[in-house]
Amino acid sequence: MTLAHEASRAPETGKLPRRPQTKRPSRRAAESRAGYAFLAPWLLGFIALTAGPMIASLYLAFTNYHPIRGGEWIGFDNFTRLIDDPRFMDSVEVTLTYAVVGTPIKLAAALGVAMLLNNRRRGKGPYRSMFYAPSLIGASVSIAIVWKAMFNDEGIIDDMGAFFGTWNGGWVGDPGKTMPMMILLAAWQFGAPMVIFLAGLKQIPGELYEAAEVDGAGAWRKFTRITLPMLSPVLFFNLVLETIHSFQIFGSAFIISGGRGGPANSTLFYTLYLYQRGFGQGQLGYAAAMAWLLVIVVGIITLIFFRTSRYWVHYSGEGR
Amino acid sequence: MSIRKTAMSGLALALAGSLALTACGGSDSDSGEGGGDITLNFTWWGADERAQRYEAAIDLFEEANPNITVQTSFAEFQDYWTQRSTDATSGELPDVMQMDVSRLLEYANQGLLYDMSEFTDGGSLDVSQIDEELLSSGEANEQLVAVPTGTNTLALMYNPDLLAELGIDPPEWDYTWEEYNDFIAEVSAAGADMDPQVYGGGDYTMTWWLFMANLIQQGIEPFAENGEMNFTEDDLRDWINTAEPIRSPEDVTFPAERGEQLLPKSGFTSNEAAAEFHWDNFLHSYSTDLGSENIQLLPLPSGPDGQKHAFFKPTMQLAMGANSEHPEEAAQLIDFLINDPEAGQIIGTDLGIPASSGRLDALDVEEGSLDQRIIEFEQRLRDEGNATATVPFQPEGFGALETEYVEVLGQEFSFRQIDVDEFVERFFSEAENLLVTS
Repeated sequence: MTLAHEASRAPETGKLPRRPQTKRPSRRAAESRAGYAFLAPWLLGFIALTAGPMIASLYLAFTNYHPIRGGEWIGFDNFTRLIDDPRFMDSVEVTLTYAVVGTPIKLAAALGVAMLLNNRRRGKGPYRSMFYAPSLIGASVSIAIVWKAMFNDEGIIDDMGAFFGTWNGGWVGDPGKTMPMMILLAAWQFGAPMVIFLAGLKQIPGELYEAAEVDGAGAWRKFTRITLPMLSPVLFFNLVLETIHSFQIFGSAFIISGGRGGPANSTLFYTLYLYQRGFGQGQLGYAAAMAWLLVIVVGIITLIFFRTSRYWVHYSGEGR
Repeated sequence: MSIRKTAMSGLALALAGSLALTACGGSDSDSGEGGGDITLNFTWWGADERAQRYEAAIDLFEEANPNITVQTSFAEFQDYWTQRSTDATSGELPDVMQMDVSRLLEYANQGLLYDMSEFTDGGSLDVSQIDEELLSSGEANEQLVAVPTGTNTLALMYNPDLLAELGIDPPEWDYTWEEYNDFIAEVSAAGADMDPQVYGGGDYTMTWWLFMANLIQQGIEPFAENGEMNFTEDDLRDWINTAEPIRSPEDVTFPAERGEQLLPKSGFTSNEAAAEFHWDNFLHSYSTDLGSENIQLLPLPSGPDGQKHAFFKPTMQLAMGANSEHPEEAAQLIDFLINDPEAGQIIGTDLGIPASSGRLDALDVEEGSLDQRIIEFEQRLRDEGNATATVPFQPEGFGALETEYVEVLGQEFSFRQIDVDEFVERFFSEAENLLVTS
């Protein structure tokens, strides 16, 4: 049941048992036809609204396309230009900071609250709803506006800082404080991973804890030796999801900085810069190149997660 | 079973509801065409203040033309252009829209704007009362693609009440850039103890149009007809260094950090800066934001030869999307907005000093009003012989370059992330991508 045990587990072997030959292929064909018919609305939407535009944007990435002037094929010029673009580097730095610092904080908050709510106490229902609520409204425009107002000069956070004498002035105008503010906004919306954690916690058999208690394990030991390993698939799922999510942050940054990524590029997230280049300056080719680079990088990061997962993610039922 | 039943009926209800909603939407747009009624789209950039004027004028237009409905929308300047470029891509430019000379060629060269000359020869669009040179600012490729609404010019707005409180005199009419630096330093020193702290003004070198004006004062026409820049890296460096005395050793300019928090207001309209350069027609929205009509106007500081070299720019233009389905009515709306005396009384000088001489003459200017202040200011510029320059040529990509200068490099410079040399270097390398040269 330990991580060490996991590392040495055998690679997946064996094939699926061969299916018996069906006698009536026509019925299967009819079934799959029906299946595709039911799929059709989604499939059409996917092709027209997702796959088509994606292919188009891949083409645009190799052109200097401008929404008004049009453009021509320029090969890899957009990608080479990215390397020399100081704002591009700024945006990469901002986004990485946000993902690397923000995601663990958000997941830790989600797990912490999920464990508190997992206790069998009275009246935990309302608490669950209350903690989940921010993630329902958090992505909305109004919350970003409220957030901005809270962190402005003479906003409530400024007043609190003045009361405790810890800081002066709002956070919105200070390039050094906008990132903590954005991370707080993200961490506050821990509801979705919290619910998933909660479901995961419910799956852990109580006997494990009872057995550990008999052996004299303390709370911390139970957490590291039982909760974390048993929860690792859920943790993995949340980690992948939230990481991808954090790379895509746009709405709140757009509203808080008025679409400019300011002050001083401190909220110039990757997607925001992409938007500025593509739609503000009309360099759609350049923006498309940025978009595809993001897809590739997020893909690689996800792949790394999956590759490393075999060393730390424990699926119960395996190795039996 | 009962849960399932409720769920089903709920789903059915939602479905019916959404169908009903779609039906509403459909019938709404259908009736527009069916009853012989016409809907025009009209967009502009500007603040609430302008929106109120336009809306009031459009109410009059709709009253006079009951078969036409005008759908309006407006946005802030930068967002406005983002929206229009998206419209242009999908061939859905508004029937009538505000246009700016800085973007005109970008749109006109691609044939996105309607040639209005077919309506001007005794047609529904009367441009006979507009000065010919001014009208030519809306011509491109031998077509009339935009009609100017009026003229404006760069000015220094100052807040006499705030200055009186601090006991400081405003600059003289023939002040220089150095004297303006001294003025800022003096006000900032006097306002240091106020709460909130009061400054003289912001770092004016981060304003694109002041750079243009400064080049013109030195006899440099910023751009050539082929879109090439006529100024050098040294010209730009010298210009930014003009404000060096107020940036160091002590920075007495309005802090960018504070400016960020006051958005969408500026330091000036928040009563925390005593002066700010802007186009003179902004007097209206500035006075609304500041909550006081007591804002006075001065020209720009004089150039090295002691002259102002002021120029009058078409404030903005009205243009029609080439894709318009109702060009006749769109032209009618433009005609109404630039010529109708009643509409003129509502719009005043918010769109600049009216381009149409008939409207200007008919304008009933109240004594002591903002309109009067702007008209008198421009008149004095003429009387003093200050208005000797012409509007600089604005090549395709001019608007994008301005955005880069103000929104990107200006921001980074104000937050001291880049120095003058980096500013200059990056400006010239971006210009390669943004300017369209031939």
